[in-house]
Amino acid sequence: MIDLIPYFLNGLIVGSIYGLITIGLSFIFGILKVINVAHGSFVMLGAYIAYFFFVLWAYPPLVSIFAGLAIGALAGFALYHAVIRPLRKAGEMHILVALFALGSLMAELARIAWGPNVVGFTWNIGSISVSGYVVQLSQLLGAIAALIIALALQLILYRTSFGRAVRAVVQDPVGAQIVGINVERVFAISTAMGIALTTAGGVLLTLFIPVGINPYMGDPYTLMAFVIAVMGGLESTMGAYVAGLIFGEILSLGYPLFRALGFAAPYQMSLFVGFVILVLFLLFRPSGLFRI
Amino acid sequence: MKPHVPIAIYLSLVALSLAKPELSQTVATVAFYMALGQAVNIFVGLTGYVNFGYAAFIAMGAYGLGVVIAYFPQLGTWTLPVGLLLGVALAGGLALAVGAVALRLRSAYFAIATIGINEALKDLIVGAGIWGGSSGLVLGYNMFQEYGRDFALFLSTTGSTVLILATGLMAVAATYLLQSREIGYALAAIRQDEDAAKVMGINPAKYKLIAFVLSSAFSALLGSAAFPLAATQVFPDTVFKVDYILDGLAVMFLGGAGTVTGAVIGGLLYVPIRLLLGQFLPAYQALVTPLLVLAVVLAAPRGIIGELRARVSPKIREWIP
Amino acid sequence: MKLLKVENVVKKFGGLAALQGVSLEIDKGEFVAIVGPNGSGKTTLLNVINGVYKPDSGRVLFEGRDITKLPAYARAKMGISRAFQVPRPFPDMTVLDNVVVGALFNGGLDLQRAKEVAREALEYVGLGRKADELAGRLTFNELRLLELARALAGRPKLLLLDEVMAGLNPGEIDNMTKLIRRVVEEKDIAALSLVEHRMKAVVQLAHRVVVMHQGKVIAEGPPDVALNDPMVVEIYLGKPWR
Ligand SMILES: Nc1ncnc2c1ncn2[C@@H]1O[C@H](COP(=O)(O)OP(=O)(O)OP(=O)(O)O)[C@@H](O)[C@H]1O
Ligand SMILES: [Mg+2]
Repeated sequence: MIDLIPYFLNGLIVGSIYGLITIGLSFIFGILKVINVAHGSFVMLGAYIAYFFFVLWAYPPLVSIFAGLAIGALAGFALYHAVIRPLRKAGEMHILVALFALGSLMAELARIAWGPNVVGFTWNIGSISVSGYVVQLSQLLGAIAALIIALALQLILYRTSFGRAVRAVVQDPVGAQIVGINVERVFAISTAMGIALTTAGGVLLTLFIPVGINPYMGDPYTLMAFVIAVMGGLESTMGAYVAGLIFGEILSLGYPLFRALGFAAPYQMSLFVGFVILVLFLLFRPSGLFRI
Repeated sequence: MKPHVPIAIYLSLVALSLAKPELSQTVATVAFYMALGQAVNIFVGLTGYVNFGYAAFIAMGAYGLGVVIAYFPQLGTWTLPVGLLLGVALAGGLALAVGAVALRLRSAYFAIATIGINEALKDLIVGAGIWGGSSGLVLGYNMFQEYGRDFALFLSTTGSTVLILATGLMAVAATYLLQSREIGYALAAIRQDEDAAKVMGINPAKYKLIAFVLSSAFSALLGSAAFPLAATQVFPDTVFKVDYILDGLAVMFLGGAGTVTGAVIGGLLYVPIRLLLGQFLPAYQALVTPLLVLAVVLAAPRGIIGELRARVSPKIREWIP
Repeated sequence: MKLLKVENVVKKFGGLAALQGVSLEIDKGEFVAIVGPNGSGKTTLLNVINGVYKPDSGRVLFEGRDITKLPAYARAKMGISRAFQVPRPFPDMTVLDNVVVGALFNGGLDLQRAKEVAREALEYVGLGRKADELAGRLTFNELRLLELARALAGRPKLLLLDEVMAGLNPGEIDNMTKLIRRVVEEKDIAALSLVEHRMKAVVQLAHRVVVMHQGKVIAEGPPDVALNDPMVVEIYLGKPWR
């Protein structure tokens, strides 16, 4: 019998990162109704930020996460003003296509700037042992940081005037405009925040992929974030985080399962299961797990 | 509407590839992108929905023919028609299944689902080791056995070029027919205001599904022609390449989304543009396609034919549908 | 058997009950006006009748058949046409093609017939000379006429008109009201027209008036009776009708 507990612990920890990676997607969709198909490329950007801060200045991801948030926010502003706003009138197809092209462009630019090779780093600060099960301290801290960021977003949404403005815009954009909320500004800031969360997720992801940073690493995370977002209700940020935990478990527990079943590439199989879950949700519960 | 111009362009390319077999490779490349753009146009251009999973449908065509050649050598020459049909059936069936699930929902969900199928199918084939798994299908030997040396060589050169051209021509005809019939009105209405269309008696899911399945079937034929037939091999990493959707979108948007002639003109221009820029800036060639798509979408979302149609007299407009 | 029967329909948006148990009947050859202030639930009621929204409870019957669960397009095919409060043309199509869409799918005609019927409908509302223009280029008032033409070309049994006269001048309102009443009587169909309460011209030409307030029907009857109902008078700031 395989001992599943280490896989379960790992699923919870990595799931927290998946949750953070997805929150930005759900946040932007919830407010702008735009599904960011360039999502994975911003995860990639975050991963490179962590990489360069680590190898150039020896800053660990828990520090470069702030750089990830800042650079992500700038990128998000640029994204909103250069792509989303000019295309809002043209329609959803144009926005989706432009975002998709942008994602590909970012990957190609990364390849030109940083080379096509897979790079990585390890930040080792030891491990702790919970009743015999070993957990990497860096990963545990990363998971906790992701949880803190997710909770901070809830605080912003429910305790600040900006949060109130956001919720008003989500409820009724026209009405919000009428009562004097600057809807354009809410859209721009929300895009910036959503992308910042995504790059921050990419920063923390590097704690789990010691040799996996490359220009094209984003694609599987786009899909993964989509699956998680749909599970979480697509518009709900907390739903996305919780669904991230669940998805972390599916991937993590799926691995030993598919290996035991003798599949050629168990990791790919668990990713495929992710897609099956997506289809099942679209079929039976498009509103996600938590909508009552 | 008069479809003479695009049809004439296709027919001259057919003539060119038959008369000058040495040009077959070049014609095939240009025609592949023309046809891909047209296939993309039938769904994306006509419905306004975006399918990011074209590679999956191209792959279904590639695997359909590849699998029959690899695993049913006893069929001999019949592997060709049977394999093509299987590819179309796989792609059509996949489109039917995905469309039935995801086309009922908001377009964001559809985009999500189509990004998913590409990755997911590749994961399934590699992960479960289906159809050769990550090592793919190598078909040269079987093709010699099944078709004989000379016919196999003909098929992988002129044969695949003609199949690509025929696919493009059928896609043009399909676009034209769709546009000039009832379904064309339905699709145009859906594209412009789906909720209003529904209130007017149009079942959007039905018409989107028709366009989706057609568009996928054409993509499958291209996949059959380009991989098992022309390259005599099918590898998951090459057939599931996400690039194809961006290529298709570039061709369609450059020429003009939702028009009959657009993808033809777009395809004729796209390959030379890429070649030229690639020659001068070889290191930056990979930037060309995404930049082109971004530039066209942002600056001239109607594309060449769309802009032309908006400017010329109704009489000339008839000629550039 | 009544053409349309709405039974006890409740529709909530979050905490807000836009319709709190509305019942309504309408028969062939009737021109009914639904009157009510902003936000009283008029548009929501139309949306429940033609299937844009599913009610939380209650039923909608059309020609005796329960259509509560049918999608909007199926109801359109059964003979329900709708003109929107804010015109929703297909802007990149010609005016004629817009109407052809109505005739084809709402009216169930073949393409040939649909084009003829569409032309007739455009002439009928006085938009014939604009047939070949792009709908996106029309003025607001022309768009209202286009909405009406498109709905008529669907050869409806039930015509749902959502404040199609808002923003028109009194002369235009008068013309349009007469037009609608003529359609109802000539083609023996039913029309349900939503109006702001101030539109006397409309209300007076209606066969029957239904007054809505805060998601409920508060009065119903011939124009004079319904609008002089004490509750209605009270709600409109104590201003008596006329
Ligand atoms: N899709 C929706 N989501 C949330 N609330 C809605 C929605 N549609 C309508 N409402 C609310 O339901 C109530 C009734 O709206 P409705 O549009 O039916 O009123 P109306 O009588 O047509 O008024 P108007 O004169 O503004 O057209 C309003 O409070 C409105 O804000
Ligand atoms: Mg209204």
